[in-house]
Amino acid sequence: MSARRRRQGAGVLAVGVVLLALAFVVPENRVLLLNAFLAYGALVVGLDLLVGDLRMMPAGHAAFFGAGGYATVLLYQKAGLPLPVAGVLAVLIVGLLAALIGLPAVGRSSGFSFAIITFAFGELLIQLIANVPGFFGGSSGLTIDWGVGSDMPFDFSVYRYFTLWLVVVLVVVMGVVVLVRNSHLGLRMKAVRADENGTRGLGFNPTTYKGIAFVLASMLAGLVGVFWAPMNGFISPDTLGVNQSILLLGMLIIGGVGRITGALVGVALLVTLPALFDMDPVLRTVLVGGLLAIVALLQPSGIVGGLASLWTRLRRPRTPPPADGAVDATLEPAGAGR
Amino acid sequence: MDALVTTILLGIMQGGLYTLVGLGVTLTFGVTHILNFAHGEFITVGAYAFVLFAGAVGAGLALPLALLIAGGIAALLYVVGFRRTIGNHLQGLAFSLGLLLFVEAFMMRTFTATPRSGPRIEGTVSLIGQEQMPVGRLIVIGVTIVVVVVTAFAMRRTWIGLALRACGDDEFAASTVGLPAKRVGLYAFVVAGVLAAVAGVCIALVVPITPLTGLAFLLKGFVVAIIGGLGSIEGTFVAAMMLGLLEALGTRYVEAGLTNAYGFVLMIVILLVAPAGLFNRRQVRAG
Repeated sequence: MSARRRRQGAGVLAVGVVLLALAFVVPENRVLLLNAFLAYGALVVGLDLLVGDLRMMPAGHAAFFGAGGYATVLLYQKAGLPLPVAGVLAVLIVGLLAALIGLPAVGRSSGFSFAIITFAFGELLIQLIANVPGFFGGSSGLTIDWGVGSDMPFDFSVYRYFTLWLVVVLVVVMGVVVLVRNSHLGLRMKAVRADENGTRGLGFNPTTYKGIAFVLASMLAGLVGVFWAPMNGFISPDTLGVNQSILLLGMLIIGGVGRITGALVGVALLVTLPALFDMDPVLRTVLVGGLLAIVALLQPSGIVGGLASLWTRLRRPRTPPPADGAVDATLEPAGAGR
Repeated sequence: MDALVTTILLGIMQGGLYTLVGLGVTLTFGVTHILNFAHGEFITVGAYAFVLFAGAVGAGLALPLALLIAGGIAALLYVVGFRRTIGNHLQGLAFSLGLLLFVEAFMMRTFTATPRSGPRIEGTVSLIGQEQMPVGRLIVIGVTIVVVVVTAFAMRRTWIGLALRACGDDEFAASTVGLPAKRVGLYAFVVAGVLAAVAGVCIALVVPITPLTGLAFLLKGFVVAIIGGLGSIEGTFVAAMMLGLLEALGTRYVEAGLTNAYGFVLMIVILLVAPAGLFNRRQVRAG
């Protein structure tokens, strides 16, 4: 257990160092692209805590990302709090919201109500924002000034300055995910995923662990929002819409559920590549939707999951398959839940 | 309380449309246990097919064409995709979410977000007092009532209805008498697709449509299917009428901007009180 934790921790640090180096060398016109990769990466890796570890499918994850952003902007602009304090408070508020909305939702065993209630929650937030234009800025959104001084370290531009922070956020999110997966909490979550009633028989309440995971994942999404909103300089209800949430799920499932690499590959494939080729956002959505449907049908463990099982098969070519067939091979890709 | 009758009629109309959508959701779920997020796209496809064909060949021919196209697409999607995802909830959910994104963005690209209007039915009918009601809306109320009654009757009296109910009640027992869920699921999808297309045509008759119309109605369809107890036809109807009237009255007399919020709040409250929904006889949680 601890060797694996050390290895994965080292992996997280290595990714962090590479991204930090990228933050210094990326040409100026690509900084925003890197920021988008970092933010989406952190969102999708955090989302995997629910989808990969617990097989819960929230259809409103982006709502918490948006809530974090809105809370930061409002606390900073309307309440006049300094940006770091506003950020911390915003993450706490998102956690509270998630607990409020999550408690009635997570107990539902097969997860349909969970998907629908999270879905409805995102829509409710949009309604709220659109109907109180005076305070929330309405459907046209809110503009925010940078909130940071003009003197940057290393003579960075403002965008590049936020790249540093987003690298930190991504590393923190990956660190939390690795930590959770290698802890007793992670083991219990794995047990809940495998057999909910069995877990209950062992004396653990599945709802507790689902609730903890939901609040944790939502707070991580809120944390991304805290840095994204001031970086972007603008936040609108579109940010927390259902389409955004499904886009996040799509990246995760296409890349590969249950693995940090899967999440990052998904984001690189569906955010970074289309942006590099200046693809029309609507066309990108067509692409993501089509790919998601195809991958969900043919390779439910995603691109990275498919490659991984191919790799194991190539390494041990002569091993006959188990007599009773690969048990649950599509549901439980090798390495899932690590 | 001015315009009370008009408001109630509007509520009944919305409730009828929600019933059509919710019936499709509840039928497909009852048989295949797939919660189809792409169901709303059948509405969009039906509505657009009707509007486009109505411009080309007239409304009379456009109606059967729209139903045929939506039913055909539903059958195709089931045979190619959903049939393989039976038994794996997350796979089915992911597949339908992908379809939802794909179809919606594709329609957005092809037809743009500009609202389009179908053929208009002119004229109004005077109700008691000063109130006026457009004929088109009354026709929509009539159509939905007829379709819902026919569907309810067909579910009791016809062979397909029997198969659908048998599979929903006990999948294993149904399969032992030659009604495997994988085959009956095809009937469920076709019926759901056609019902959604009827809803789409009705919507196109009274309001302009956009590629996002289907998703908005799908949300309400989910809400009524869940409130009514997934798999229950009576429950869906009662819940849809409740929601339609609640929305119409709330919009008229409380706060117009919060129309969509009422349904979600109603759903969350009912799920807290009765996790199985209102009419779920089998004590299966809707969750």
